[in-house]
Amino acid sequence: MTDHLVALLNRTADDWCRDAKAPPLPAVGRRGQDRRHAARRMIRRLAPALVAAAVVAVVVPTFTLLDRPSGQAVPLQRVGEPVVVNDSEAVNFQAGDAGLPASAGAFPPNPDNVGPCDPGQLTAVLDLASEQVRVEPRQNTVCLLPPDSRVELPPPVSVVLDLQTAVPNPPVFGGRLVQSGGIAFNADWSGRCDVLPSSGSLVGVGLRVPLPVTGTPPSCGAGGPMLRVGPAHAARRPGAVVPADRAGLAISLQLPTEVSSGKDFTYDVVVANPSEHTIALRPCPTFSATFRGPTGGSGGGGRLPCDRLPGRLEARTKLVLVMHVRTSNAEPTKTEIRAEGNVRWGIAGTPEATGTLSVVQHAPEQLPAVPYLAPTGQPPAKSSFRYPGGNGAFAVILAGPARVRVGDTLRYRAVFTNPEGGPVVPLTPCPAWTELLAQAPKVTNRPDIVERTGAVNCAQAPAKIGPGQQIAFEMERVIGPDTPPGAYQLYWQIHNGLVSAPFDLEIVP
Amino acid sequence: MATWPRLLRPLVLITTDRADAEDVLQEAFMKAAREWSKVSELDQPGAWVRRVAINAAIDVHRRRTRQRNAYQQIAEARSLPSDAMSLEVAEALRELPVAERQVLVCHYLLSMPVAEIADELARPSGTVKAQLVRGRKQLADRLRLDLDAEIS
Repeated sequence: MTDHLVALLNRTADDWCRDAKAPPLPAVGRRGQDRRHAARRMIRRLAPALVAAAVVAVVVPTFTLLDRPSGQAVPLQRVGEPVVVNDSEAVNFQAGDAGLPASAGAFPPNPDNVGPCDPGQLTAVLDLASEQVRVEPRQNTVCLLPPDSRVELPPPVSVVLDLQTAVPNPPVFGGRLVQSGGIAFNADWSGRCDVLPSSGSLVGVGLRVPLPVTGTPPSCGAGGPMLRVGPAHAARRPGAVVPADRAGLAISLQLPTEVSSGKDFTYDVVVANPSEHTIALRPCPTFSATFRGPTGGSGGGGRLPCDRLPGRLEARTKLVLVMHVRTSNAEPTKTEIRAEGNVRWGIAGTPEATGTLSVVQHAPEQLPAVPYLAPTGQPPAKSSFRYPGGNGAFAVILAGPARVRVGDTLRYRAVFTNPEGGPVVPLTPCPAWTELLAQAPKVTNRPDIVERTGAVNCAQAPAKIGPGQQIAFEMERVIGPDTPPGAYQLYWQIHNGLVSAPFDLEIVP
Repeated sequence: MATWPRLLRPLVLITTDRADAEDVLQEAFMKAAREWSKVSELDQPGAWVRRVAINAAIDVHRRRTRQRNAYQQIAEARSLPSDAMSLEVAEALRELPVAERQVLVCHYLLSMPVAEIADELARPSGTVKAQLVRGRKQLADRLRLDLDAEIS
């Protein structure tokens, strides 16, 4: 029903906007969010303490083991060249992959409002051709299958359940969360095919759903008819059991000692088999990788590039994976700041490796200030330059006196910072600036807005502002004698796109 | 600014990110401030802000698409819905083109008829109608909904 869609959209919007409050004052047009900035400001305040305490524990794996009675270190032999884990390939999961690690699930829903599934709401089918049991809701719903959900087929077929208790598979509710996309169980037929069942049931506590059988198995054997059913997993997510011997793998990280905030970096993951036994790398292992830096992080789950990896890791060998991380930009700083970043990486079924590195935020290179150029009255040329959002955390901060008298000239600086890792910002053609003086406190309180526009004094400015560079544009503004005293906010904008944070200004008689 | 949460609701569904929605709305308020002499004369200044913000949301989405990482970005918990069904709706919306999200949100959340959406988004009404049909079919398939109402 359309009403249902309307209700869903309203419910989602309400939930998503819960506790939404307007910012205390008019808009900050640039990309950074106030709360993120608050966190960054907190980091800046804590930075001296962090620096003082900075005995940066960088993980430097040795890839040697003291596992012999003599305690003598025996190096492991590396298999092949380091293999790059490509982000976009990594998310192409296959049902036959193993895992996922619990930490790969970034956003589990609140379990308080997920109830058990009503059997009447579900449909299930065992498709022998695709080797899957698929469970789907009849209509839009979110619910949980019982923990003991299993497939029942009539004799003589025996059903074997592959249980996996130690490794959540996948992470959210042990794979039992039924959403519109449905969930699945891998189902592998073995033995004779002359007694294929036509139907069965999906059962559990409080659950019995008819299970029609379709398709024919890709292969048949000579033994008794048997269906091996894997753990429940989200559709289009890994569904194979993680082999128990993966617990014998040793993961270690080779992290750079320090990285620059705003720049990408790579690190090596060493997957070692220190045992005297071969450990299979099939089904294809899945991993979770997380980076948390002082200004944010990234992470998630993926599958290893198994088409480029050996099928097994022989005793006392290791392989190296190369991971890529994108860091976030921080707010501009006057001095260099070092803070700790953390990396966590693990394969499902294997103890997770963690490491720390130093995230350095360099003080920007100061370019000579650009003197003020009064507006000529001619409209400035339009620049087509567009600032990237998100990772390009450009900033314009206004600096000046907190108070100015009516009739005086306000002199302030608009300090523009191009973050490390940002693109080159051209000043050709010469960009326009826009200045906005708004009476506080609120836009909707019908403020008096005074706006003016001019061109940057490009004759005395560099042609471009490179990554990691900072430049101050000097500004002047006469506070007219008819300006009502009171609290104001000043904004400044360049390239008709990047707006400064608001600057509080009091105009006094 | 009692209108803030009301204006934020459609934007969060269009951008599928609360922080992005807040950015878009802030920029729209900024624009309103700059053009206050005109905006204040309107019957409904809030509607003007909404119109600016809904149109700007598509730019934000395009910027994000260019920089999207294959991995999920770790976000603060409050930037996502907490309710399981809402999370599902959010995921389903993310799979739609942003232009279709715009018209769906305008039609179903804001109860705007096709002609008004076409005016607000400066698109031919035929385009809006096609996007609405496509978008709601995709959303209905993804969320397993039966949609039977006519689009007007």
